[in-house]
This record gives sequence, structure tokens and C-alpha cells, in this order.
Amino acid sequence: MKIMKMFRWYWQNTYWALVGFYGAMLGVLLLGSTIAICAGESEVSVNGFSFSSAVMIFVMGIVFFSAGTRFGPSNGASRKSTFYGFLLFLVTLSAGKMLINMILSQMGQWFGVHTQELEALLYPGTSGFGGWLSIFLCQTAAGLATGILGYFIGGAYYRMNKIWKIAVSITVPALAAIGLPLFVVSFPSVAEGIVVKLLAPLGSWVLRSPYCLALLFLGFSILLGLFCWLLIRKAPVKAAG
Amino acid sequence: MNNGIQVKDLTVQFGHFTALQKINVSFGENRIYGLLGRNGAGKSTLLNAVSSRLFPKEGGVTIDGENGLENDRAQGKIYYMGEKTLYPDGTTVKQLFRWSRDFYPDFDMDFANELSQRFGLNPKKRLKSLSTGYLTIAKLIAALAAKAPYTFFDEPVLGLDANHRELFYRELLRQYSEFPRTIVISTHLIEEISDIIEQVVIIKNGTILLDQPVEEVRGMGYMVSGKAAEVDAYCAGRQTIGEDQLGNLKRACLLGTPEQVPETLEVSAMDLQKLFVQLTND
Amino acid sequence: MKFSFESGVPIYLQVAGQIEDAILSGAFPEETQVPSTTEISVTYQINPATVLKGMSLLTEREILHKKRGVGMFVSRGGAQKILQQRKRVFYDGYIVRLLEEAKKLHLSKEDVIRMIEEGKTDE
Repeated sequence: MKIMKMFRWYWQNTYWALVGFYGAMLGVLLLGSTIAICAGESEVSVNGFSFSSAVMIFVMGIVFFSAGTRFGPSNGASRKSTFYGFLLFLVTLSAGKMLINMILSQMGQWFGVHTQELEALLYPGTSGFGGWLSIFLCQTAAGLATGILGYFIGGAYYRMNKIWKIAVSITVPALAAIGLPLFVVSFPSVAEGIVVKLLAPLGSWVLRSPYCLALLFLGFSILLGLFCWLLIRKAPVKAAG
Repeated sequence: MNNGIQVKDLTVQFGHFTALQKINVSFGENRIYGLLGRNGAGKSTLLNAVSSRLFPKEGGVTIDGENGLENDRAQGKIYYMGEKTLYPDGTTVKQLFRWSRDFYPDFDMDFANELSQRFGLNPKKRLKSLSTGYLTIAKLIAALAAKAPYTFFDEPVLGLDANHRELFYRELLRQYSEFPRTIVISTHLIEEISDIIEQVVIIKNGTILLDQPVEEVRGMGYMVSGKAAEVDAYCAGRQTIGEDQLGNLKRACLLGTPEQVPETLEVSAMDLQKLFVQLTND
Repeated sequence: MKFSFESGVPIYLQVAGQIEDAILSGAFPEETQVPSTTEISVTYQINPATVLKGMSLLTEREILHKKRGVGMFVSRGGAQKILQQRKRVFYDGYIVRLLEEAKKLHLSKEDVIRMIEEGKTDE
């Protein structure tokens, strides 16, 4: 199997993006701490490290479906190796980024910059190493899920021909922007039922513990991952354009 | 076990279009093949199917006795220099070499660097910024340096000037002599490779039209030319595969060997290019 | 060396012929090494198997011989062998046909000899 070869290849292609990303992050932190020290301000806060990381992972997912499917099978790697290599890359990227984020935010604290993550807001009760671990797993799973989502979208676009691409590009946003509100207005009781019976219990279950949220992301990743495998399994190698 | 590539009953379809129709062909060990065919005949499709870049509808490919489809080990023996560029935007020549080395353990980096120098290729350049000719050169060098047991070239001299073409053919033969391997060259420039290849495979409309040693193909036919009436008289009852006429002057391509040709007619050897044109004409 | 396909002579025979020419001209003296298959193959862009076939033809006729691990050498008396064979070919190909043609034109052997001596090319 050439999983490790593909794994390395994905990392090689992420190198400069990571340098850019953390260059920018360090810049922001530096600016924040300068303000905090110079102005004696204690309320400087920088937020959304894990969110912006997730966005980056999402973009990597979109890019790597086509890039990997072109490169792997045209260099003697099977779709399986190409896919598993990506999954391994994604898990390590997500975990690595979240770990670095935590270290960076800790460093920020020392220099008077507060960082606040969404997960910490959701679960104010967490503390100690257990709490830290749960938040870390939660963020990693979130990164994984966004990466898989990006990979799925990239894959769907790769497999679609031009007509389908245009059709989907119009229909999906239209459904979200017009269809969904229309559905809620037209069938208020059904919509309410969905929210009360499905989303509300799920929400309260998730809020019980960060591990629940992590599990939810993981489940979503596995489900979407299966669809991704279906997309890449028989994907032909085709050049861009 | 090394017994080459065997393609069995391979059918490839794109939608309703049948690109390859139950093809049977083999690429034996350590030989140089010329894969010929007109545009859209199915040359690239065959190479794509053998190298697992696309999935056949039916049939299969074995590489040294192993199933070749989606098989990491078997596919690692094939280096396919395609017409299309399949690397991410921003890939440099150097990266192309490094990645090729990662995936093909026999890749010879010193050789790649030396060839780059001889071709005047700057390894620091991005593939996207190269001219057609130099992009071809970059890919050619990677393919030669990879030293894969099965190396496929699709249009290997696209955009190359005469000097670079000659340099490529020389390096190809040098490499082949020093490290024998199976080479398949798909090209339109038949005359240039006619002395280099051992076996000719011609594809027409998705089927194999001919699969024979070059020497035999050359002996397959001959040409006679002269006055139209006399040429026609000679051709009567013989297997003619094509003719062209200029005023009263006619030239016919025939299969077999010349026999009792009237002295007024001129006999000449059939070259590969002419045979190819005659065979693949619709 | 020059190879052309148009002549209709198989390439391996052309290879053999060219090496013979070089031996006759003294470019490859006896007991010296001739270029390797690879060298010829690369220089003239011919498949090595074709070159080998041409060279084997010459080893069979004992014009060339192989020294293990070194390469191919011109055999002692190789040039002489070529000369003899070429003379035979010359006789069969030119003299016999020349005499046949002369007979058709009612030229006697003496006429032909006289014409050759005079070096006449047209009549």
C-alpha cells in the first residue's frame, strides 16, 4: 500500500499554506500583545483560532480531492491508498492544528491576550487536563468533519460534468436561501416538529458533554467519509479544465 | 515472475461511445513498442486503462501476472508520461522530480539533473510557466529517470525542436540499453520512431488493427508506380490497400511481395508512414 | 554510416553492411574493437535488438568475434572474408547481368572488355 507515500505528499503540499496561516496567526497575536502591553489594556482578546483552522482544513479538503485523485493514480497509487492517505493526513492535520492553536492561545495568555473558543463557551464547566482533552478532541473532530465535508464537495464537483456542476451550483444555494424558508412558512407544524422532536433533543444531548459533540462530528465524518469513498472509488484521472 | 502486460478483452466506454472494443494486446518484457493510430482511435484510452487511470467496462489487465487494476504494487511498475499535466498548480520541476522519486524508488535524481542541464531546463521553474516544449521535456526527463519496468510515452516529442527530439531518442536508447525495460511510444511521428521500435501496434476505431514486428510490417507490402493503366493492370487480382493518382501517374500500395512486375513500372519499398496512412484511412 | 528505409533493405542488413564498409576502408582495423551495440544504437537511433541482429550476422560469418566482458572485435582475416564475399556478389550481381545484357545487344566479350577499357559510359 502507498498510504504513507500519499500521506507525505498531502503534507508536502500543505507546508506553505501552514506557514502562511501561522505566520498570520502569530502576527495577530503579536499585535494583540503589543496593544495589551503598550495600552495596558487587559481586555484584548483574539477569537476564532479553531474556527479559522477549520475553514483552512475545509479548503484543503476541497482542493485535495481533485489534486490527490490526479496525482495518486497517475503515479502508481491506487484510489484506496489515495483515500486512506488523505484520511490519515486529515486526522493529523486537524489534531496538529488544534494542538498548536492551544499552545498559541496559552502563549497569548502569558502576554495578556485572551483567546476564547466556541467550544469553551459551550462547556463552561470543563477544567483541568480532562477538560482540556475533551475540548481538544472536540475541535479535532470538528476539523475532521469540515475537512471531510470539503473533500466531499470537491469530489462531487470532480465527478460531475459541466451541466451537473451548473445545475448543482444554482439549485443548492437556491434551496438553502428560498426553499428552506418557504418550507418553514408553508409547513410550520412539520418544521416545528423537526426542531422539537429531532434537533432539540440532539442539541441537549450534545450540550451534556464535549465528548458528545466530538462523537456527533465523528459520526458525521464517518457517514460523509463513506460517500467520499464512493466518489473516489471509480474516479477517473482527468486534468483540470 | 515477469511476463509483461497482458490486456484481455478490454472494453472501455465513455457514455454511449465505445472507445475500446474487446481489445487483446500484450506488451512483452524489455521491448520497444510503437502505438500508432489516428486521433481519437483509442491510443491514450488504452494506456489510461492499463495504468489504471480509468476503469474499463469489461475485461482486465495483468502486469507480470498480477491483476493491474487498482493494484499499488503492479501499478508501481508503470510510469506513464501522459499528454496532460496532472500536478497541482505551482508545482516546480524540482518537485516533480522529488515526487517521482518518492513513488518510483529506482528514480535516478543525478540523471534527472544532468539531463535537465543538457536540455537547458531550469528545475526551479514552475511547470505552468514552461513552454509546451519544455513542459514535455520536464515530463520526459521524469519518465526516463524513473526507470520503471514499463514506461509509456504519449506524444513524447510534442513541441520539441529537432535537436531536442534527437537528444530524447538518444537518451531513450541509451537508457534502454543500459537498463532494459518495456517502452511504449504513442506518437503521430511514425517515421521518427520506425527504427527505434521493435513492434508496431496500430489501433483503429477502438480495435487492434495490426500487432506485428516492424521488420515484418515493412515486408508486408510494396508500392508500384507508373502509368495509370499499367498500374491498374498489374493490380488486378492482387491485394491493393490503397492508391493515389496524379494525372496519368498512379501509385498503388500492395500487400505481399512484388512478382513479375513489368519493367515499365517502378517498385519501391513501403514505408511505415505510408502503410499506416493506407491502413487507417476511412 | 547512413541508414535509409527507402532503399527497402532491412535495417539490420544495412547495419551489417555499414560495419563491413568500415572494416574494408580500414576504419576498423583487424583485431581492434568495433563500437558497441549501444553506441551504434544511440548514435544512429536504431533499436539495439536490430543492431545486435546485424552484428550477429557478422559474428556468424566470423568477421567479428566477441571478447567476453570487453566487446566485439574485428577477426583476423575479417576484411579478406568481406572482400571475397563482396567479389562474389559483384560477380553475380554485375558481371553476370552485364554479360546477359551484352548478349542481348549482340556484343562480344571482347567488345565489352574494350568498352570497359575505354571507360565509355554511353553508346
